[in-house]
Amino acid sequence: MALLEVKDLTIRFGGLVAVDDLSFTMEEGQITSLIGPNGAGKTTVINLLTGFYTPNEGKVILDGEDITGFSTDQVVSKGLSRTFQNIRLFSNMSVEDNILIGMQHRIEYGSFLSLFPNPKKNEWERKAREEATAILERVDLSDYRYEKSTSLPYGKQRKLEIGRALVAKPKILLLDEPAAGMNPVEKKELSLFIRSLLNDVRGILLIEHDMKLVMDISDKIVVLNHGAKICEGVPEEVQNNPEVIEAYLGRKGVHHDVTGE
Amino acid sequence: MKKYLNSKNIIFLVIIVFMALAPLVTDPYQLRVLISCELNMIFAMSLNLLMGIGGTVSFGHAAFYGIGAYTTACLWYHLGWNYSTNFLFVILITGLAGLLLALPMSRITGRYVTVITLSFAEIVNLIIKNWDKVTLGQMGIVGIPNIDLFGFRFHSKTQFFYFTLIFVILTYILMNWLVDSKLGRNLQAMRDDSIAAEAMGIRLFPNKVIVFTISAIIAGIAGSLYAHLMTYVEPSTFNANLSFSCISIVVVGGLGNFAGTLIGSLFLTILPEYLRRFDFLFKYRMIAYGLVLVIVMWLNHSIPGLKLKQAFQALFGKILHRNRTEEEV
Repeated sequence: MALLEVKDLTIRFGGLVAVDDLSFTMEEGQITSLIGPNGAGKTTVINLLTGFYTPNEGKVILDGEDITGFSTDQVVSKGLSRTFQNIRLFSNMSVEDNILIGMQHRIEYGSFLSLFPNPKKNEWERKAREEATAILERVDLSDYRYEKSTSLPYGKQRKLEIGRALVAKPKILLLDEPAAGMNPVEKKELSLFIRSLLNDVRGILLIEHDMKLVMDISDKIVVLNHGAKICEGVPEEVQNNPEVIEAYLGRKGVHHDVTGE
Repeated sequence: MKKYLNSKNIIFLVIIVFMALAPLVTDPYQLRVLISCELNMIFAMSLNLLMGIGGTVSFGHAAFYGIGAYTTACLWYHLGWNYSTNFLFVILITGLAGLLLALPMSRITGRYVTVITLSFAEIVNLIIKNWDKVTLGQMGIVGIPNIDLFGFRFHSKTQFFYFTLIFVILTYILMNWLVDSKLGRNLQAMRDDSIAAEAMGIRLFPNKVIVFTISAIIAGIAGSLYAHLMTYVEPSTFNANLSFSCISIVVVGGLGNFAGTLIGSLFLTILPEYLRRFDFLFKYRMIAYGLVLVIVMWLNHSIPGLKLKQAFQALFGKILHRNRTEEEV
């Protein structure tokens, strides 16, 4: 059974079909990449999976359970966790607090018990901080624990965002353009890091524009154009698919940059 | 223990110790000013919870203060109840009012919140003015006795002062517990980035309702104390001016900074009173509020010692290197 199964997913915004009858599967322990030219609907797919949008048609099945139309908080507790294309950290909070927000749905005391000290709250706070320590070590940010999140350098902010998604203990991690704005050295480091994340989660869905990175680390690639899937397969197949080349490069005589943002 | 020894808590302790010793040296007028300070502290801390932690600017916070004051006043006037019973009803009614105001917040954000909160305060004020049977309308309710706790009636303003001081301390401690908890963190996350907060599985609406309710209850408690302090309540007290001066206090003290709010309250309550003596020269002493607010906005930081260094840097940095910030950007 596939870890994630997307069946005939469609969403329309007015007359625009942003995602058109999209089906693909993600397998256990694999990195699946979603690529496509700008405006192909990649981020919309993530928004559909995570409950920000409700699809007009189609189904999302996570680990055998239908999660179509679930709200964002339900999706998080079912085990989908995401990062954002443009980093969205909680800017006035410390690095540690950002991590703690990532695991808030697993902290089992409610708003009323938040108001005063009590054994349940103390116990959970202690546990949460222990876990935050472990995750900070995992993403190599232990030294920055009490710093303001936005004071971190760019690459570390990315890692913090990934750490924040990771601490939610998701089944699948959705990474929306994690390499955006990074230099080649940072990208190399990031690709190793993403690969290593498979020890923590059961599958990774990666959206990325950097073809080298995608080809290097993906087990499977799904190509979108104008909201519809045009190709699916291992990196070699996708690279040689004429439709993909056309989507990226255009027909003969029209010039576009492959990696152009 | 070390966890609690940060600069904010030390400032809080210093202020409380000074306040506790103050009645030894003050005359009755000064004591009364200090009690207003305390009420403003509680009131402004409740707004700071909403603004600084919850990220929602309420321009109608005076409504909750008014509802709190009128609840205890009406219960005393019509039913003759004492403060210990009224207190529970103050919590209940202001809590419900906060809940009511929070309901539209599921759908609106930004400037619409401003309009809604402002209108809410206006509606509450109109109800108070026109519901003659209960609130006695424009006449107000006169002769409210000093606080009566389980048969023990306060007979001096000094007792009232210490009683209110306890509320200041409790409010401050509650705020710190709240901020350093799951609820507080979730609220701050929503304030910083509501979309990311939603993606982390935080349900925005219930959290908004909770923060509005808690904030309203605390403001209502401050209001109920006010009614017993002044011995009368009238509708015009709880107008937009009160909301705005409360916002000034919060902004001067620093958003999300409760020790700062205490300093802001002291500053903005005592300063206009002090300026009273210059009335023969200059009648518009309330301008002080606006002036202080403008200076703070200009500094872009809070005034109190917590961020004094940065504030000075901002002040003198701007004067000396007027163009540097532009270059940096």
